[in-house]
Amino acid sequence: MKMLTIVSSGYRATIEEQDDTIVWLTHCLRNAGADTDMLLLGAAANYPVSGQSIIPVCIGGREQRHSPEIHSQVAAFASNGSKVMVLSNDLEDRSIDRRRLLQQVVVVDSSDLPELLSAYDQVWHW
Amino acid sequence: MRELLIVETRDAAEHRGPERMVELAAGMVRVGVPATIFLTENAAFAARHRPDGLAASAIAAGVAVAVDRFALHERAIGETELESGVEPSSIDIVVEHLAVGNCVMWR
Amino acid sequence: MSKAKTICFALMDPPFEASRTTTALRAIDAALRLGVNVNVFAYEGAVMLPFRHQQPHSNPVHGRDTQEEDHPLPREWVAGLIRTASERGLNFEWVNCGMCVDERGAGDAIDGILRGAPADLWRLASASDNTLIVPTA
Repeated sequence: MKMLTIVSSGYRATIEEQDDTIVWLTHCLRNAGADTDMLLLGAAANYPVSGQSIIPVCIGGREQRHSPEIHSQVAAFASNGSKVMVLSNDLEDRSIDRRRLLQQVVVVDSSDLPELLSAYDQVWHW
Repeated sequence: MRELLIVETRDAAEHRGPERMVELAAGMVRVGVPATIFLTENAAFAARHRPDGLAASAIAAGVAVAVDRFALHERAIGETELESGVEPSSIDIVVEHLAVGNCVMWR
Repeated sequence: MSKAKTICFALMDPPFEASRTTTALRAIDAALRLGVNVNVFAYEGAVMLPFRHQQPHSNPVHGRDTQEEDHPLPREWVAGLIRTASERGLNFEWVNCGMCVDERGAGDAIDGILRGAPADLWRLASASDNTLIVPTA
């Protein structure tokens, strides 16, 4: 079964979770045998942009030193044979320069989305 | 993909997402995949008759539109107020689509 | 539906925060009514849905005591789904993501709830005819 995982809740609780929990879960699913590609929608289209970093969060004197590395996770996912995609209009809406994206990321035109989805057996839209 | 059901929960007056979902559903119809939008929760407001509204544009594009009776009752939206072609339904529609192997996306 | 199908639901939202908890549980209830076996993978806040210590309360604004207020509790809905499945001879498996449980101190769940790992979502989905992701609101 060929599956498409759509991640559309970019930067949701990423500091608390040290991860994007859906990107992380998708890694786990693939390790468990799922054959899945990934489409990063909305704000998540920014995940493949290089140069992201976290200023250490200090709340009530408790400093958080480890930070999420979603960019690296997406890179690892893409380098393992799965396709990682973003939509062109999500980039345009957020003025994201596509030259800053990971090289492996495929930019899909929004008008091609129906054809893309129809090629998968299941679509898991998180 | 045999067929697509989009469960839309968001208020179209507040979010851009529902409009995008109509575009997606219309696109699916164009590539030969029948598509239905099930309006529930605050998305039920979009089921009301409005010539330039979400339901009207979906129906014009060949997308089936259903609305959750539960959400209509909760918001005092009468079935006579609905856009022509919008079908009041129960939550069973979600299970019926899943059971026959259709793709269901919850937004 | 002639032959019993199995549907997997993945839930994410915590109780008492979003309408979609009720909507999703209504869909699961519908599945059981229609004779469908159900698998549930509760991820993130959804692991609190079957949390044993949810308590009803009175509502002074409504002028009602605890009994009159009859406050719904998701743990009772989940218990009811487990009971409904059993009465109808349907399979019902609810797995809470263990790491999500630990983060939230949600280990004390009602009877019938299993603790699992993220890979259980794939196991449950693979054993089902179809899967519905109910993402966070």
